[in-house]
Amino acid sequence: MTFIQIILLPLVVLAAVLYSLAFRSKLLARLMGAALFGAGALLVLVPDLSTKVARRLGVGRGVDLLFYFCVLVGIFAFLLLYSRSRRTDRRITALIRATAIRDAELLNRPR
Amino acid sequence: MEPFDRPLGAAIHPYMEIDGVFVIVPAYNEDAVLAVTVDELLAQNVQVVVVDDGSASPARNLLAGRPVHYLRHLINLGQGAALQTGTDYALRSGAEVVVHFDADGQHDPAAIPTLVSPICAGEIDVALASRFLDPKHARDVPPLKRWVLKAGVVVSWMFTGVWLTDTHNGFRALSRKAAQSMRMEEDGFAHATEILALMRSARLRYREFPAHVRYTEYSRSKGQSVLNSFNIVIDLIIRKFFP
Repeated sequence: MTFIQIILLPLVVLAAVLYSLAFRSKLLARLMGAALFGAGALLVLVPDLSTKVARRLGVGRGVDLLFYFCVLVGIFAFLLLYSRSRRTDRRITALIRATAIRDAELLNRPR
Repeated sequence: MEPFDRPLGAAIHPYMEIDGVFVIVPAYNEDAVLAVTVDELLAQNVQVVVVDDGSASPARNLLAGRPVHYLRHLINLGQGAALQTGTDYALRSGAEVVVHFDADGQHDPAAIPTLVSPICAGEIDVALASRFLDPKHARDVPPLKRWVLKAGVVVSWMFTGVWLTDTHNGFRALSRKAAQSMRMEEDGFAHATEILALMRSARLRYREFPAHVRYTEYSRSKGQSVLNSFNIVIDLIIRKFFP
């Protein structure tokens, strides 16, 4: 076992545990998690694997392939979070607006 | 504050024969100048709707005894949101014309009839005030601000296809139909551009009118900084891609 493997493998296992705790109830999340962390563990244990796959796909190094993949996932995750954030803003605005109008109409009702 | 004690549309100006001109004044942390602005508006015999956008000290404390409609956002949402809240309220209260008006005293209330009359006459749906139609008014605008606003006209055109002489003037009047068809989503200052885009897509008839802007020390300090204009543009670009 190389040094980096000794560091990374427990981290992957730890991440898998935390992930499973967060998504305990969702089967799909579990399957995804198993696939993701399984792949992670595999890449740590068999380092040449990523390089072999990369070569097949026309990428120079395994690391590069992994990097491209992570960048794409990162961008996607960001977009998802951003649009969620915008949606939350809209809901807050609608809520505050409703309270403002309701209070005003309550205050101003004909007596 | 008892808004319904006031007779609607005491007819001093001809346009008030159609009653229900509601002037929306969004206010965020304004000081006593708000009361002055409101008083000037009340003298125009319109319904005044003050929307307190989460001011630290509730604006109603400054407006004691004045017959205005008062709405308060519990948290600060932004000028666009405040205008939309006021507009919604005005429409629910039966407004025929909705006017947007700044709280800081920059806008001249005496120009309200100029904007509102053509709408009441059915000639247009949206009346926009412009600082740059009359060279006399343009000269009052501080030079740097003038260039930023002129740039704003170009940017606005790029995003909306509408070419005006003044795209960031908060003084405008909308017919009921126009107000109903334009729902502003932008909470912050980008709403000015959003309104133009909505105006265009709803095919509303619009016209610009010359309006005098009164710059005081107070309103200068309150006005948008030049730097903030960059923020607005970046905002517009991002929201174009991620609505």
